[in-house]
Amino acid sequence: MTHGAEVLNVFMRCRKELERFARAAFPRLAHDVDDLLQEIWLELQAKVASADFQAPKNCESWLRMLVRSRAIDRLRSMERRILYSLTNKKDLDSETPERNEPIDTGPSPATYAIEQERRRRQGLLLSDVLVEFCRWCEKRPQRLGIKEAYERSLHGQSPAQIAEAMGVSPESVHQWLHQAREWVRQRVTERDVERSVFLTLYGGQ
Amino acid sequence: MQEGASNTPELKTLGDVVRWVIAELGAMCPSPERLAAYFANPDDASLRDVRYHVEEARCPICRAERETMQRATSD
Repeated sequence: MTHGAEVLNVFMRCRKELERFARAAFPRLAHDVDDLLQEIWLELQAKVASADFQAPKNCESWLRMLVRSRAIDRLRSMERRILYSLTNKKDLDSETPERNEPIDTGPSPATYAIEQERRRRQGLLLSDVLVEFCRWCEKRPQRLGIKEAYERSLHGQSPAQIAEAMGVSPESVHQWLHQAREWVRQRVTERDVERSVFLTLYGGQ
Repeated sequence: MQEGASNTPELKTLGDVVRWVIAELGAMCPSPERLAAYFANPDDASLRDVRYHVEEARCPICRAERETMQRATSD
């Protein structure tokens, strides 16, 4: 077991590596990596000072996990800020276009902002549900096939391709995908009670 | 308004959303314990879903973690 002070020492020793990891894994946070690690440093200091702190067996791996987790938290928080800024956008239609501006036949800025807001809400909700789905699958070995098949389908593979790649029957793949989609659909439906985020499930996109 | 102030991806379709949550928010990443187990023993049959995630789907977050780990080991 490593003591709290040693955890802090390991963090300082591995700081460069952790920075490199954060930059490589989360390119959008490249400019925030210093802040991110500083926050983690403060969090670590509070953690190790608490009486119930259990030092990890593999400290470096645990620190990478912490960086990963906090980086994702930060990305999600960034997304929420963007979401709120889109939500609070004032009357975008009232902005007067430049006289020489070519006629834009695409969606209006207001429509675009609303759609982007919905997509971001969709992403945050879907992200929560998929993480929960993965943990559910990992609880039982027999569910791991469902996870792999579903991930393959999210990457665009057809059931036939999935069956071939996984060495299982197409029937099994159909069954797994049905189970996975139903699981995800139910969780999304529970959370998207107003049916405003996932129009797809209710006949939209 | 093609990209937000913090350089966020434009999300036009549900497919864009799915790609974004998988690649950037790690939505399909295995648990840290299973990922570490895979790095320690890539041939373990019970971790084949992790192998797909890392080697074929090429999850940038998990691959970056492996590179960091390998670099730390070789130093």
